Amino acid sequence: MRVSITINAVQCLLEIEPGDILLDVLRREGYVEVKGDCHTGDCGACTVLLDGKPVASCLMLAAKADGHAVTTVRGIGDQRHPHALQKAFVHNGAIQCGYCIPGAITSAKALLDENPEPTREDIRLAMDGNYCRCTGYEQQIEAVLEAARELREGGFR
Amino acid sequence: MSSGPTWFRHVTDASAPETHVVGATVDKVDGYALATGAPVYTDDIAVQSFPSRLHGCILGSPIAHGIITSIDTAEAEALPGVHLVLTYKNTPRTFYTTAGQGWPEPSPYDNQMFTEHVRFVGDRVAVVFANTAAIAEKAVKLINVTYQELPAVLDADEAMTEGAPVIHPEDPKGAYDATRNIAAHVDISVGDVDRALTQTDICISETYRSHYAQHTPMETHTALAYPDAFGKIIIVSSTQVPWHARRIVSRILGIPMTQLRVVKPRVGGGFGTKQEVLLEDLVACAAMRTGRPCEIKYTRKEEFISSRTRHPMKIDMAIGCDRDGNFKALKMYVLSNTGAYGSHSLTVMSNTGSKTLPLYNKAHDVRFYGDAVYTNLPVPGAYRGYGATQGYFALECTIDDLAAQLGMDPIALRKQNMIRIGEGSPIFEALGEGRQGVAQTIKSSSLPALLDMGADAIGWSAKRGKRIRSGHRVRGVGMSMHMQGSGIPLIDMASASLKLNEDGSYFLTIGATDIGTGSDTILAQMAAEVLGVGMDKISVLSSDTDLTPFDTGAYASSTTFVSGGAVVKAAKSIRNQIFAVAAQMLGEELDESLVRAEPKVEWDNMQPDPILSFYHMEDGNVVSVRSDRKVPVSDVAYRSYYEVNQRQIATTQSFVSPYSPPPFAAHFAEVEVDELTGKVEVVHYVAAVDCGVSINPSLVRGQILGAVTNGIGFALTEEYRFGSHGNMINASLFDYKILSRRDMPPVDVIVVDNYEPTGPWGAKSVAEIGINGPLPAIGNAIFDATGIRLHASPYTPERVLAALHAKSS
Amino acid sequence: MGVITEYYRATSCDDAHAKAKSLGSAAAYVGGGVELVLRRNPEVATLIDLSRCGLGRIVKTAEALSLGAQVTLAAISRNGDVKAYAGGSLAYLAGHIAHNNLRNMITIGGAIGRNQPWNDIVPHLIALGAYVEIQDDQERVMPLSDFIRQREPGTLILGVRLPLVNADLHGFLWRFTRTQQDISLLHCSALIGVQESVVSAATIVYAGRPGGTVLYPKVAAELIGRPVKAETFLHAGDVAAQAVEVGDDLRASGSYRRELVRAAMVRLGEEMAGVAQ
Repeated sequence: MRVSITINAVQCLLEIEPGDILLDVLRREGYVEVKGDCHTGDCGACTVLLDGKPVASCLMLAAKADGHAVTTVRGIGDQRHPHALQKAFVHNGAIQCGYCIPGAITSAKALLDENPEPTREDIRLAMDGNYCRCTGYEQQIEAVLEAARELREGGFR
Repeated sequence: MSSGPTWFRHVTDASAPETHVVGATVDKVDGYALATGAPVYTDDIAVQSFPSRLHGCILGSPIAHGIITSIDTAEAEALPGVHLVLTYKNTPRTFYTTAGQGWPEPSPYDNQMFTEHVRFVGDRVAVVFANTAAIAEKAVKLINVTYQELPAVLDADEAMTEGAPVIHPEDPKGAYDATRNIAAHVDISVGDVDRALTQTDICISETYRSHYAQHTPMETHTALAYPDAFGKIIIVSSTQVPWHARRIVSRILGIPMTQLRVVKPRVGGGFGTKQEVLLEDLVACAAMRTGRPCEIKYTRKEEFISSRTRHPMKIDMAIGCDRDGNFKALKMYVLSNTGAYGSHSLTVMSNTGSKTLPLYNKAHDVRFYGDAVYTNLPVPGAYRGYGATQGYFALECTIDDLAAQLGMDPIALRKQNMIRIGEGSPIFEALGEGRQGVAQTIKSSSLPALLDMGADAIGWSAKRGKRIRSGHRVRGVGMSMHMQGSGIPLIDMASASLKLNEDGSYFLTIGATDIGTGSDTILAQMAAEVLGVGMDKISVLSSDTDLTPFDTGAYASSTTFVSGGAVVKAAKSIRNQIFAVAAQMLGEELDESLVRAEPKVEWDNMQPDPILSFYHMEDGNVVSVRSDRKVPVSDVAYRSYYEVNQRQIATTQSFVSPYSPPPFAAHFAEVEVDELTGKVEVVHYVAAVDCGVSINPSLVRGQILGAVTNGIGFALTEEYRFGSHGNMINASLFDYKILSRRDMPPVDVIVVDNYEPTGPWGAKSVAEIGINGPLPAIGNAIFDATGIRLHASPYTPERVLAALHAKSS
Repeated sequence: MGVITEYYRATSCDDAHAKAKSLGSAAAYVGGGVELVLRRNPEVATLIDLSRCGLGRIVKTAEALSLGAQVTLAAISRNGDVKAYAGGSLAYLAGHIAHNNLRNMITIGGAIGRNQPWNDIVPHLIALGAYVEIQDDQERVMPLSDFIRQREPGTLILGVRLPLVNADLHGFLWRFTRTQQDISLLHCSALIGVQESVVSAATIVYAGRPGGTVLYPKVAAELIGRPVKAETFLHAGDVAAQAVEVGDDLRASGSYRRELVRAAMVRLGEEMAGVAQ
């Protein structure tokens, strides 16, 4: 079946099977910035935004995304134009192996879009779907707080 | 003294040299690539560059122990899209170990690519390579296997008993006594511990049991292999040990090293589990046979069942001391469960003693002995902490009980008995990694400060023994003390190459394996510091067996110390070459022997590098001390490459050290125990650490936070559960609970820098030590809160409640 | 989910139900899709998407708070009317259960339709006295507790109604988990009314025993008419420990769960003591 999904602000017409999983479709189409290993919705590495809300793309039927907007971490910022969150993650030692980071930053983006001044507890709750085995989370929480501050003060987009 | 954000204190003593790049929190060199999801992991490369690759799917044994009496792959092979099915019938029968360790290999050769003898649920039976993963999965189900089931050993306590099933009847080379299921055995004695224990005023003896748990890296093991245009097999793998992987695969498959290259891209977490060669042999074999790119990626379930775990251990710990708490004798016996194969069986067990007992060097009679036994359970291997984690559980909890028995403060008792600067321990020499060790004398330690600052941060004096209550919840504090090592002395070797570019920048190639730890970054920092440039002038390439020099790999807390040593030597060597050309350009004399002298790793206050009294590096310039004149390094390069006495300015240096300076740590936990449910909540945690000079404080903190988080999960929730026939029943992240960010208590990190004279820029290791704390510190805090002593881990609510009930009845 | 050959976008509830009826067990409705993907049913070849059936709203009427079947847990957690209902226990649950990605995907209709043994949503809804609106051959409303016992395959869940008569009672929720995002080792939900420091109404539900939801009117009866005091709940805990069936699974043993059954009543007592003040 043919679906139309707006991926990172570009409308994409994709030929998929009705039972295809969004993560598989995205990676097949070259969006390998979306990681993911568990395929059970537990780890969060595959997080993308569906109409601005973070979801586990490994449990999402691709057909369900038809007519909707999907944002990956590359749609949030790239190496030439990193988002405040990406900068803050780098500056705060919030990245070690990096495998969980695309998902974590994607969840954080959704949070800051909804709540520009989150508390630590808000961050913990909004990003609880993103496991990280390297960092112990603390520096990631600090990075989100810093990015939120930067964004409020207008330093970044 | 600098103070960081809320929960981070970084304290530096004044004895270190002034530095600019070393000691600074610089961004990770791969930070932006990782933050934007660049295609840097093995599977990303496979998806992007090899869309027509074959996908491998493994058939695992459904039984714990048995013999394959027949295996029919015809139906699977006939399925359209299937290219290759590998079983024991069509693969080399080479015996090897999956453990990626140095040579000669200390783990027994008890593994084959495939065998008719399956030894645990999940053991390899066959692998199918097909056009799609779905076809491969389907084909695996079409393989008809019949098994003759054998009685299984599902309990380490029974492995050595008379009449127990023999798991490795083939008597593997390197196994201690396969007929009794003993993969490895160790027994070292200093003095006469048994006599000493009968003569001391006080003797305490306890048994601790640690459990099956796993690294759970976010990226599962993944390997890709493809033949290049000239027939060379190139393996791209999420490995911590590219050179060991090449050596092992070369041996198994008989591929000469000219025809085999291992490339490590970015790795999505290792923690030891990727110090194993688990998939590289399969994809390399398949790529050779099919001529096509072949990939295998463990599913999460396979990662749990068929990759590696921490060695569960039973440890008998005895301490003898006088009435004043002076330790006289230490005796530790380890029964280590090494599962179906003996990967790291000897060395992990050795470390259980060698990385723990020297901490209390006042005891003169010491014995450490143990057996690592085969069982028909999943295979343990290297895991952050590497046996020390289990050893500290027994040692630090026993000391806590001893303190209670003596009526002493646990901190005071440790201070009284701990190793100090200028002291050694006979254990260092007696017990090494699978062979005799190397004598060590402690040259740097901040332990006294760590204990004081940590106690202060947790509120020790106000909380210890107070049992502060709120309804049916009661609080307590506990602590523990640790050391680790920095590489394996006289075994781990690393090398680094540096080339000068015309614009005055450098290309650094290293064998060191960055698995997310940030080693590419901190090694570049060390080079930049020597060369007097910023991070922007160093380009790094690491971990490619064809393109970078040798390194044993990312394990044993070696990279900062050993690989760092190689980088510092390479940087000093290339710096001296540059000085020589600059001297010619300035028309100044420079003694050639200074240029050619073997570069040293150590920075020495008393005897600075003599060449520095002639020249030094500053902002990309060579500065003459004698004339104060400057030559840009870029001019040196242009002249050397295009004009006068033309030659490449480059070097390769390697480093192996007789030293393995231990980092030290003191951990403190405050817990709240719910007496109604047995639930233990860690409300505050403090990790105070000394790792010499912190090359990059933010990355140091990250190593500690990550290790502590993993350690708290290990202490409280992470646990393999087995069904009646040795099958893991919670092999998913849904059932096996690692901690999410909502589960984490506030963790204070206190880093007290000192200067380690044998380390590169004064550094010691930091990656592993942090995981050793939570199990004993939390256990000791539970004891403080409730008076119950938990001798088995993890501290699940059910186990804690049972202990509370047992105490009250 | 076997090999899916058709993804059918229903245009109305009637359309969806007609399609499902025509295909029988070869069709499945798509709520959030989570359970559908996780536990594939090889019989299913057609998926019926309900996102265009107008089931995505939360509406407050004179009698009830109505949650459309396609409303996600995240949306429930943010809704002001839900936050105000029975002390906000449902909003809290919907905002803290599992994790954020799943809260944005799981729909309340899907949670009821799939009703896995470890479900934490259904027991709480039952404690709150929820009704379910369904469509089989006609539209019907029935108590959720009845529905989960006797549901027919192919029944289309339209939504949940929370009766406003319960809105001022106190919703209680105690999920005992290993980690924050874990499913329950034991789940206890309750709806309690208090008048002049005496329990005037009580509904008690246990779940995660490890089986699904069960109402315990016998335990509730121990509370009604008794003062809000620790002894009342301790006694109810003893009764519950006798009444609630518990078993072993990989998370906990039955005997430990029995302790938790008792502990839940102690917790309820503590919470009600706070409410009563």
